[in-house]
Amino acid sequence: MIRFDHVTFQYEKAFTPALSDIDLEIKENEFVAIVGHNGSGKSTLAKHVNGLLLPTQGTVTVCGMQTSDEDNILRIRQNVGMAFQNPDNQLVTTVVEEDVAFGPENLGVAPDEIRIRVDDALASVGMTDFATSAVHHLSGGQKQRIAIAGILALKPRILVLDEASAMLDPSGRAELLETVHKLHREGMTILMVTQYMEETTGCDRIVVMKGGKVVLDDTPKEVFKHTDILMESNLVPPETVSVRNALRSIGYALSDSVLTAELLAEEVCPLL
Amino acid sequence: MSIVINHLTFAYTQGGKPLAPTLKGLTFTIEEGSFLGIIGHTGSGKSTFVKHLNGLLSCEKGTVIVDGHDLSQKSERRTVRSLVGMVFQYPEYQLFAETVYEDVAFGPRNMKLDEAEIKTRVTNAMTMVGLDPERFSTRSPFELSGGERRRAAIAGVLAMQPKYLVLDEPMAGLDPLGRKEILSLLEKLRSESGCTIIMISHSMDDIANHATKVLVLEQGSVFLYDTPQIVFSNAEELQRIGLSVPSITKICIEMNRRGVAIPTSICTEDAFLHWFREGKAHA
Amino acid sequence: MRDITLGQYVAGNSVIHKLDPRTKIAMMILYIAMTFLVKDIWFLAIPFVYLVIELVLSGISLKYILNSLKPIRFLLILMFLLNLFFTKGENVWLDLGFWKLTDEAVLQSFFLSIRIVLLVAGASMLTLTTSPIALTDGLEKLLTPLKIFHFPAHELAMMMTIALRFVPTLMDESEKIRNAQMSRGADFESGNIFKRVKSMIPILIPLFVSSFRKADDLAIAMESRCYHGGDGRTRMHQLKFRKEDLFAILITLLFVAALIVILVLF
Repeated sequence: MIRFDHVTFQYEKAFTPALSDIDLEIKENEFVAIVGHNGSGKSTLAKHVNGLLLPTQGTVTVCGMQTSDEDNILRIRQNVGMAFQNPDNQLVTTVVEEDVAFGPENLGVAPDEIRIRVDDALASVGMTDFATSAVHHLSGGQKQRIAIAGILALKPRILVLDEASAMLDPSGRAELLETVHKLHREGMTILMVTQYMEETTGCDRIVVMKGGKVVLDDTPKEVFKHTDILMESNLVPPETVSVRNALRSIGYALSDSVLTAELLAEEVCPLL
Repeated sequence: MSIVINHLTFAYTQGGKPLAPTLKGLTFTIEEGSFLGIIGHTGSGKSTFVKHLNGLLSCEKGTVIVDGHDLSQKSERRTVRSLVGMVFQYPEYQLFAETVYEDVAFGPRNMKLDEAEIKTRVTNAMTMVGLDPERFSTRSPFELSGGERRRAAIAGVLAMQPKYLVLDEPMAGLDPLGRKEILSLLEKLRSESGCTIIMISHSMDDIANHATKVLVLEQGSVFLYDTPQIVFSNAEELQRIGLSVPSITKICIEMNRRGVAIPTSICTEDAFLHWFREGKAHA
Repeated sequence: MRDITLGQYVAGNSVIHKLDPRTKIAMMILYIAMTFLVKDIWFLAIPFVYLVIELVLSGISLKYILNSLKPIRFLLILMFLLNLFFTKGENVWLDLGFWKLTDEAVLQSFFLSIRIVLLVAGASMLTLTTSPIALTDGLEKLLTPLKIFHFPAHELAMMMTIALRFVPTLMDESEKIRNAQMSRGADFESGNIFKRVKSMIPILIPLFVSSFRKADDLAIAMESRCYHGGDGRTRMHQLKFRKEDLFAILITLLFVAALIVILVLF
C-alpha cells in the first residue's frame, strides 16, 4: 500500500540527509508505529507519505501512485489523511462541523454528500454532540478527534499521525489512541509517529529510526527484546519492559510477550 | 521557611460575574527543600493553583504566605516573584530577546541587579541547564533545537535564583532524552542549591520516582496530600477520579489480584526489585 | 478583552437568525443609509422603530446591544459634550457669559449621539445574529462578481475565516506569555507611555513568532486536506435566498421609501 524505495531526503540547508536510503513497505490495514528521538527523521518520513515532502533520491509509491508525479498529488492526499502535533494549529474554521467539511469542500464534493460524510465522520470519532460547538472551547483530545474526523471526511485509506498525541494529557492521549485503534479495526491502514513507547505495544509493527535510518523493524514483542538498540536510539522502553528485563537479570524467566502489567503479573506470580 | 496556604478559594469571573469556584478552600504547607508533585486531571485547578504562588492570581478568600510574605499585600508581590520562579507549559514560547544571554538576563535585569551580578547569574544558569555559555550566549534563541530552547527558557527563570521553582508540565512534548535531562536538572537544583521544586505532571512514573510529597487536586479541593507511597497506594480512589497510578503500582495491584501480597505502596522500580530480593520472604 | 460584543455571535433560531447573510448585509446597508438620510432628530424614530422590530424578532437580549455600546461610551460622551459646547444657536437656555447653552446645541448633541448609538446597535445586530462563518460566506458570495476584475474574493473570505478561528487562540497565548514575563519580574503597569510600549516587546515578539509558526503549521495541514485555492470548491452550507429573505428586503425597502417620502414632505 505504501512503498519507500531507497528513499533519501536532505533539507535544503542541512549538511546531512534527514532520511538515508529508506526501504519500507506497509501493507493494507497494517498498524505501524514509527518511533525515534527528536531529529531521527520520523516526521520527515511521515511527510513523504502524502507528498508534503518529495524524496531527493528514490521513490515513494502510495496506492500505486508515485508521490513525485504532480498530477497524483491531490488523489494521494485524498487517500492519505494526516494529523499533526499541535491540536490548535490544524483546525481551519471556528465551528466543528464546518471544519470537518473543509476537506470534502476542497475536493468539490456535492453539498448533500458532504453533509453525510461530516455526520459519519463525527459519529466515527464520537463527537456528534459537538457538531455545532466552537473549536476553541474543546479540549486538546477533542480537537485531535475533530482533526481526525476532518481527515475521515476525505474517505482516506491510510491515516498518518505525526506525533498527534505529543501535546495531549493522558486522558486526551487515551481518547486519541482508542479512536485510532477503532479505525484500524474498521480496515484503516495506520502509520503512527510517536515518542511514547507505551503507545506502541498494541501495534502490529514498530519501526525504530535513528539518524535517518531504520534500525529495527519488527513486532512489538521482538522490538522490545532489543533494549540495547532502543537505548542507543535514545528511546526508553515502557516501564513494564524495563522492569521485566530487571527481573530477568535477577533470575526470573519471563517471556518476550510480557509487555503489560497484567502479563507481567501473570508470569511472575507462579514463579514466587 | 515555607509556603503556607490557608483556605485558598478562587473563582474566575466572566463578564463581571464570578463563575463556579476553581479552588475551594485549599489548606496545606509546602515545606522548604521538598519536591512536590501536583497531579489531577485537566480542569482540576492545578494551573490555577500555581498562579497563586507568585501572585499572578490573587485570592479573594484565604491567604498564601511565602517565607512570611503575605501575597494578599500587593506590595509583596514583586518580592515574592523573585523568590518563586515559574516555568509554564512550553516555556520556550516566551523567548523573545535577540540572544540567549539577553533572554536569560531579562529576569535579573527586572530585579535591578548590577551588570556584574547579572553576568554571573546568567553564566551560572546557562551552565546549570547544560547550555555552554561560550557557545550559546550570542546565539539567537530561535535557532536552537526544541530541547535547547526549553532549557534556555528554564535558565531564564533560574537566573533569578528562586528559592522555590514551580514548573507546569516541564517535560511536555519532549522526547525521552529531553525528559530525562530536565528531571536530572531538577534533582541537581534541589541537592546543590536546596531549591524547593513544585512540579505539575501527568506522568505518574516521574512523580513516583522524584517527588517527596504528592498533592492530588480534584475539582479544586485537596483530594490527597502525602508521600508518593501513601498517595499511590490509594489506587482505587485515584482511578475513581480518572487518574492512573505508576506502572510499578499497576504491576503490584495485578500481583495482589493473583494472590501475591506485595505492598501496593511500592511505586518505584528500585523498591519493587528490592522487594523481590528481600521482602518477598515475609509475604 | 473578552467582553467585546462587537463581532460576537449569539446562537439562536429566530427568523432573523435564519435569514441569508447576504440579506442581512443588504438590510444593514439600507439601515445605515436610513440613519444618514435623516437630518432631524425626530425622524430618527424611523430607523429606531426598524431596529426595535429587528431586535424583538431576533430574540436577542437588550443586554448584548448595550454591551456593544460599552467600548464607545467615552467617545459618545466626548462627542456629546463637544457639540454641547461648540454648536452655535439662537435660543439660549443658560448664559454663563463665556458660554451659552442653546436649544440647538442640546438638540444637535442628542441627534448625533443617538445616530451613533443607532449605527453601532444596527451593526451589532448583524454580527449578533449572523455567525462569523455565515457572514464570511455572505461577503464572499456578494464579492464574487468582482472576480472579473481579479478581485480575490475567495482568498479574502478564507483569510477572514482563519483570522476568526485564531483570534481566541492568540488571545489565550498572549495571556500566557504575559503571565510568564510577569513571573520574570516584567512590569507592564508603571512608567510613562514610551516605557510601557517598550515593556510590551517581550510579549509581542513571542506572539509574532508563534503566529508565524501557526501559519506554517496550518498551511501544511490545509495542504494535506487537499486545499488548492477556491477553484472547484463546493460548500456544505449552501446559501439559499428564500421567501423570508425577499420579505425582509421588501420591508426594509418600505421603511426606506417611507423615510424618503417623509423627508420630501416635511
